[in-house]
Amino acid sequence: MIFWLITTLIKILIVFGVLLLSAAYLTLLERKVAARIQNRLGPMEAGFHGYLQPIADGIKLFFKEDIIPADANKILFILAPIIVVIPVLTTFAVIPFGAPIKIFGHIVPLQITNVNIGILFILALSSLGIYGVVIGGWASNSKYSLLGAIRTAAQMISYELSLVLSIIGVIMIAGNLSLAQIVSSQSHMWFIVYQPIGFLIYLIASTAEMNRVPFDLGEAEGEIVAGFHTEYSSMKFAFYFIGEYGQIVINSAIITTLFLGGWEGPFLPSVLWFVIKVFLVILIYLWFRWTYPRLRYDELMDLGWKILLPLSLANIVVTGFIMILLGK
Amino acid sequence: MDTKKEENSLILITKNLLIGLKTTLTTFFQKPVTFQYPRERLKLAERFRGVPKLNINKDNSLRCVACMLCQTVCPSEAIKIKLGYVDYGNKHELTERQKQNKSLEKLENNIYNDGRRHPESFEIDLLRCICCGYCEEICPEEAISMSDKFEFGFYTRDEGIFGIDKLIKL
Repeated sequence: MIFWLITTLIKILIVFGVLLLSAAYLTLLERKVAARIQNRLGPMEAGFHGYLQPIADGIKLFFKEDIIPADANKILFILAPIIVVIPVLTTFAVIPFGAPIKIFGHIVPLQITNVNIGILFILALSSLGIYGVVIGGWASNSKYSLLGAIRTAAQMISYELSLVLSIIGVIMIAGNLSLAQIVSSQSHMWFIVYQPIGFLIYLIASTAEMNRVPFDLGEAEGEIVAGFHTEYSSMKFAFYFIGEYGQIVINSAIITTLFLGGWEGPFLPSVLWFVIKVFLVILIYLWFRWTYPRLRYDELMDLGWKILLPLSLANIVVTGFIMILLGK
Repeated sequence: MDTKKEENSLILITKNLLIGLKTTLTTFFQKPVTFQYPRERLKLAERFRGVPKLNINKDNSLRCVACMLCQTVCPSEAIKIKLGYVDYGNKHELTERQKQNKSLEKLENNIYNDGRRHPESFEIDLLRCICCGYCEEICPEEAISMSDKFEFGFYTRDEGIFGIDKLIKL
């Protein structure tokens, strides 16, 4: 019992630390990738090739003046960034990031908790983050924030649907909602082979759900200043950023778990395989961001309702048919 | 041709999206064009025009003979020359011809000169200079030429006026 408590605590600390650190260093990675795509060098001054830049940014944000607008709803204004960050940090609890290891004769699964409805847990938490955005936008008492929040809310509703439906194919094949089970059922073949359309839909829908370019209408800087976080400064702004970049890590981890075989892989240790896969998926997200321009609002809705939703529904039907034909 | 139909073709859109991804991927593996300015410098062209500098002879004397041509031609009136005469000192013996030179009578007393002029002060206001190179082109003595220096910073406007000492070092 005590052994279990200690290992769980250590796992929580490691996951928490790695997640926050990777969220911070994703900002640097994003800037570096953007720079390379635009034939630039990116940050080069802070430390060797700018590797201390996230720390410098963190210190800067920490010492910035914390401004709360005069007519803002203070409680909600402070609560909103917290609501954005907490679901992101919690989501990783159910994601298996390595094969079970043996310590002193005990088998320790490399997963904080193996919930038997892991996917539902993730989906429930990822849709909670929208409340932070909406509340923050409303509490700021600014037209830009409100517009950004409304847009984000509408966008999230349209894309959450196809996001969930794209996963159902995976659940059907695995026959289980637990993420550990899904990973172990991919030991022979990754689900991306069976579900290529599901993978693509999840990739696009999760980009939209995270409010990233090309679907960043909620914070479209050319139109509504900075959208829902226009009025935020200092650490509250940093919280929104941690939430945003933490979500990239989370979504990449989910894609890795559901479609790319999780920690399964030959030769290398399982945790390393997981990290490599997550990193590659993150690179795909960054690649998308620095390739495509922002969609117009009606295009966004068209894509969500007219293309992705029918496609994901068709994907479920086709998957079901094939499964019946193969007699699984 | 029905352009609207073509615009909405899903295959065409997908193709274009993939072309976009390919473009960014190729640029990702190209060499960055950035150079880290204060540490790395662009190679200046041979004919690069910086601010003008004064040239000197091998014996460290100025080549300038204060003919005032550069001051006259300067479009931004950045050059100011004060005329002076070379003082050989009273030990120096003037030649017969030099003694006959009547123009020397206008000189102040105690200046021993053969009529050779030099700038007593030569000032270029770097805040006015536009680095056009007219002064270099018009100079008959090749006394002024364009250097390759182009970065300056001053705290006051007066610091921007360079005299002979600074202009030689440029």
